[in-house]
Amino acid sequence: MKNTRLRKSFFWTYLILTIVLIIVIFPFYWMIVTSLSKPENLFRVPPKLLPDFNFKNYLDMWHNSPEGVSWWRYIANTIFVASVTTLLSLINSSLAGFAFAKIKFPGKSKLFMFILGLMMIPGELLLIPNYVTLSRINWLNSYQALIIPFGASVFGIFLTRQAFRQIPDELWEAAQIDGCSIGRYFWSIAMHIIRPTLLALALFVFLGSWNAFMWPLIVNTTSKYMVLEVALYSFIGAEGTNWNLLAAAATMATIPVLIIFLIFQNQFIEGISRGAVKG
Amino acid sequence: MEEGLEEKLLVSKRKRKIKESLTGYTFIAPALLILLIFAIFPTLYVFYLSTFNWSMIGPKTFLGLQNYINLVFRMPYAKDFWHAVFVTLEYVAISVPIALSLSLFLAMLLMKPIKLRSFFRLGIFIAYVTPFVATSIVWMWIFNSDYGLLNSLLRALHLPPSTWLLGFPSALFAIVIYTVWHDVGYSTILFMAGLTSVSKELQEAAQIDGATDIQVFRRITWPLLSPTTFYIFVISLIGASKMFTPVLVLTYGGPYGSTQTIAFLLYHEAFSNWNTGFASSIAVVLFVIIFIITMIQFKSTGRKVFYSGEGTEGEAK
Repeated sequence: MKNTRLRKSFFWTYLILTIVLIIVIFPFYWMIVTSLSKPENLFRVPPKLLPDFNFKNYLDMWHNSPEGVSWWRYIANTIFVASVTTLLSLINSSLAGFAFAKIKFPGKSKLFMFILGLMMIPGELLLIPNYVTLSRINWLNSYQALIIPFGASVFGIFLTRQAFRQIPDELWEAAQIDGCSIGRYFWSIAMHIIRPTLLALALFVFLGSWNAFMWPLIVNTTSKYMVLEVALYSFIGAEGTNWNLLAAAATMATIPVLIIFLIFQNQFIEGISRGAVKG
Repeated sequence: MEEGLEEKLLVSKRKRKIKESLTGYTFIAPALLILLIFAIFPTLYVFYLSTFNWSMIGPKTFLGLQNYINLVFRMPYAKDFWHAVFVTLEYVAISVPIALSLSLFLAMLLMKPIKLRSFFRLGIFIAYVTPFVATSIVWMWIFNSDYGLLNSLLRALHLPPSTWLLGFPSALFAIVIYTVWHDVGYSTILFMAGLTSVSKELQEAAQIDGATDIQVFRRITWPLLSPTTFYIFVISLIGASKMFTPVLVLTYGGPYGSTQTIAFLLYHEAFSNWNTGFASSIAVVLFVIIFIITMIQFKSTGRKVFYSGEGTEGEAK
C-alpha cells in the first residue's frame, strides 16, 4: 500500500522533472538547429524542428565577422582575458586568504570584516568611477581594463581563507623545523592542499570573465580588444534577421562554456552550495 | 645571566612577531591594492561625482544636491526616474515570486530519493553558466512574433499569439521568462543545500505519525528552511533590482520605454548621453536601495542566518 503510493508520487516527480529539463535544454537544441538550418527553412510555419545540417552557415558567419576583425581575434581575446584574470585573481585572493587564515598581524579581523563588507557594493555603482579612473590612466581600450579590476575577488579571499583554515597548524610547525620559509610553505604545500577550492574558484572566475558583458562593452570600444560577448552584441546589430548566422555565432560562444562546465560540473555545483550556506 | 637570556628571548620573540606581521601585510597587499583602487575608492568617488554637472570631458560644475533634486522632483528627469523605479518594481514583483517558488518546488522534487538526481540537477542548472548575449540571441528568435517557436506553439494550441518583445506589457514578461530560465538553476541549488540541513528524522517522524506531505511541508520543512528561503529571497531581490544585460540585448528599454529599469537608465544616462554626474546620482540611489535591503536582512534574521552558517562550518571537519 505504502509502496504503491510512493512509486506513484515518484512517477509525477520524474514526469515534472523531465518536462522542466526539456524546457531548459530546448533553447540550446533550438540554437543548434537554427544554426544548421537552410535559409529557406528558417521562416517556415510551423517551424521545422529537425536540423538540416547546413554547415555552410558557419562558414558564412565566420567570413562576416563584425567590426572588421576576424572572429579569431575575439576568441583569442576572450580566452586570453579569462585565463589571465583567473590566474591573477587566484594568486592574489589566495595570498590574502592565507594571511587571514594563518598569519597573525594587528587589525586582521577588522580588516577582514571590512573586506567582506565590500561584497555589498553592487558592480553598477563602480561602473562610472572606474571608467573615469581608467580613462585618467589611459587604460581604455586595452587588455588591462578587462583584467586588472578583477585581479582580486572578495569572494575568492573568503573561500580560500575557509580552506586554509582547515589545514592543521602542526604542519606549518613541522615545515619550519625543516627550514621551510613561509612563502615556500604557502606556494608548495598549502596551495596544494586546497587544490579543490582553487579549482572551484578558478571555474567561477573563468566563466565570470568569459560571460562578462557590461564592463567590456563600456571600456573597450575598438574591435582590437573586444571580447566575444561584445562582438556578438554588435553582430546582432549587423545581421538583423539572419537568424541562422546569429545562431551559429551564439553556438560558437556557448559551446566552450558548456564543455568546461560539463567537465567540472561537480566542483562547480559543490562550490555554489558550499559558498551559499555561508552567505 | 638568566635575566639576560630571558631578555634576549623576549627581544627575539618580539622581532619574530614584527616579522610575522610584515609577512601578513605583504601577503594581503596585492589584493588590497586592487580592491582599494577598483572597489573602495570608486565607492566614495561616485558620491563625489554625483554632486557635479559633468560629461566626462570638460570642466565640472558643482551642483550640490541638485542632481538628486532633479532626479526626484524636476521634470523631465523625475519622470524618467520614477518610470524606471516603477518598471524595476514591476519586474521584481513578477520575477522574484516566480523564480523563488519554482526553484523551491524543483529543489523539493530533486531532494526525493530518485534515480538520476545529479543528471536532472545538472540539466536544470546548465543555463546559468551560459553567456547572456549568446543565449539572448536564441531567445529573441524564439520570441519572434511571426516565425518564433513560442507563437507557433501557441497557434498549435489554438491560443492567441503574443507580441512578446515587441509589445507592451508582454516585453517585460518575456524578459521575466528569459531571466527565470537563465537563473532558476542557481536558486534551486541553494534551496537543495538548505534542504539537506533540514532534519530528515523530524520529517520522517511526522510522516509516521500520519502527517500528510502538505502538513510535513507546512509545519516542519518550511519553518526550518526559512533562513535559507530568506537568504535566497534577498539575493534574488538584489539581483532583480539591478537587472540590466537582458534589457540591453533583448529590448534596449523598449517598446515605449516599458522595460527601462533603473540599471538601464543608469547605463543610458552615463554611456549614451554622457551625463556622468547625473548618472552617478542614479547609481547612488540604486546603491542605497540595495544597501537598505541588505541591512533589513542583517537586522531581521541576520543573526539566525549567520548562526546556521557557523554551525555548518564547524561540522565540515
